[in-house]
Amino acid sequence: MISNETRAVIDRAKEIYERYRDILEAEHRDQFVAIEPLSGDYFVADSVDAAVRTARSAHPSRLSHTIWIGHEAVFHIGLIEQ
Amino acid sequence: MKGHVDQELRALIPIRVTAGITDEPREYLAWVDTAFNGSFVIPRKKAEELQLPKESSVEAILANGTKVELETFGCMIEWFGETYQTQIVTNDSTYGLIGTMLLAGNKLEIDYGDGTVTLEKKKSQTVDEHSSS
Repeated sequence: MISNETRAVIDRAKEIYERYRDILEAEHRDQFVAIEPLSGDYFVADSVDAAVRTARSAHPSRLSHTIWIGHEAVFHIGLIEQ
Repeated sequence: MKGHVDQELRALIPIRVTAGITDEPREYLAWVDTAFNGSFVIPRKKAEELQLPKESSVEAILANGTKVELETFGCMIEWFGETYQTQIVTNDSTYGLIGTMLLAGNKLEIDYGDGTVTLEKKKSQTVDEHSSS
């Protein structure tokens, strides 16, 4: 279960990703992008950890949403219970 | 690193987690999940106890094909003597999960006969190095 705050961040970040999808998937496929929706800034890195770390450095108190560029999801989880 | 197979045949190994570099780490047993491509899933109650900061979110695909959205939390994990800053997600289970991001570069041996789990470091590799592999 995610919070309303996170829900809003995800929705806005996905809109921003769609805006830059072509260039991100052409130039940064298989990398990760953390999108901070209030500023519209996005941060590309080779790992989830590095992308989020860079986003937090730029916007320490704000949430980002992280996408594996060109992939359906960041994680595949075999044993999670929902 | 030594773990064990429990009565329900879960392969469990210990992992030490903390919210920040100055905090005292807590050790948890986590279930080895070779179908999980991340580093660590922590039980929600444990994340709340540690007061881990929420930092981002991701989409994940579960074993039944369901896509879910998950919040991620920043934390420090101790792994083979090194401390890493990483993003982890939560579950509602008793045990957390250890995924292939932490297993990469190591030799995992699960002996269901003896009930032992051994994880042996094979080569030097940071958590970040295999995040996108």
